[in-house]
Amino acid sequence: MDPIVLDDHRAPAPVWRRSPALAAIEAPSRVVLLHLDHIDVPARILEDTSAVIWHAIDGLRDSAAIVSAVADRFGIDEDIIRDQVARFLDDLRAAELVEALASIPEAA
Amino acid sequence: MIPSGLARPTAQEAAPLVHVLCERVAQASGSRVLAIKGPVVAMQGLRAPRVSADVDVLVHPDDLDRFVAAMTAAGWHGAVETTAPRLVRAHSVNLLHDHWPVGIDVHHHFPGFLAADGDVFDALWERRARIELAGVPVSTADPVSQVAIVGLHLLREDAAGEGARVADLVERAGQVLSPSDLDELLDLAVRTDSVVPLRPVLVRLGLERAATIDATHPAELATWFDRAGARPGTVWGRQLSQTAWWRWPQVLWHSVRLTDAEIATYHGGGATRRELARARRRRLRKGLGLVPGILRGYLTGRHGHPSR
Repeated sequence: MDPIVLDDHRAPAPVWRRSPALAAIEAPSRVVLLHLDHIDVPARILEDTSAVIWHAIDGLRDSAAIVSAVADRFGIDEDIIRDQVARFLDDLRAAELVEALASIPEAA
Repeated sequence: MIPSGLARPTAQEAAPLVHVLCERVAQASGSRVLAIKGPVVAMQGLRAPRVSADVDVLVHPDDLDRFVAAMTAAGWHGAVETTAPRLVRAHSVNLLHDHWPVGIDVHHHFPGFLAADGDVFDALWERRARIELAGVPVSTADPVSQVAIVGLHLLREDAAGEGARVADLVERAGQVLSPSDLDELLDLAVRTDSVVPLRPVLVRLGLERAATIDATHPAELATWFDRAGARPGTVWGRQLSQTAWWRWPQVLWHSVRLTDAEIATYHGGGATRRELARARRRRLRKGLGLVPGILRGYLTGRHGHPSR
């Protein structure tokens, strides 16, 4: 799986959405996720910053918009978190908890 | 820097997710499974929300082995089996998983429904509802069925229905169920032959006709009242009544000793011999307080069930 490169201007930035095959218990600073296609895999728990990033994944935002939303939430510069958010999105994608779409689906 | 990982969910988080997991396994294995009691009942307004140590599902008896095998494949395993005698036949399989802080009680029989297990399940399955847990629809007993299920669960140890929990269920059921739901509750009780065990709840809900309907499975009804009237220790007295006197020391020794796994799991023992011995001593001291129950079990075992 190729890592997402945030500054790649050659192609449209992918939009991130949550996998439709999830059961989720969500609170502002804690999210528990069970992948329905991998029920033998322990539930994934996201806390604090990761939970905030998760909440920013709404099927409409691309990586830059997610970085912006998270930076806004914590009142910090986007440059400070850009790489970490990118790595975290890749991590979620590897676990099939999110999908990177080339464009916003019409249903969204 | 980004904290995420494989910590365990809390019991409150786990309960709905484990119901979803059961639903998924049921679908994949072709098993008929209903979520009962627990968080679903709270969502249906039939009890106050609270955290449970386990979740309960009811499975069609024909699908039990298939469902348990599929859960095992998903990493769940059976809890330590008790070697103590039983007053009623086994009615559930308890499954555990190292990652999940709640167990699953997989019921294939629900005490108080006196009709055949398959017939009872069919009656509940026909009425099943879908409720969303953790964003996923799950098959569950509908509110009418849940009143019967929760009612029987509470009446198992309070056959007269005099406790606060039965009163709470009756009050909530009176608010949640419509008049036609109440009629359907009585119909369901008749079909599953649970009118007599459920009578304290049914009559208090205004279903006076329940007072005049008899059970059609008298042996199962006797077992129900036998269990409902039991005290701690009764089961061992019953065991003694069915054992030749010269084997009593063996029964009594086992009642104190049980297996190491049982002592460790259910009686506060630990992994070391010293911890197990300490737990057994505690159990022995506690056992002296069970003498009335043991005597009752012995006498009812010898002379039949007490009057009701």
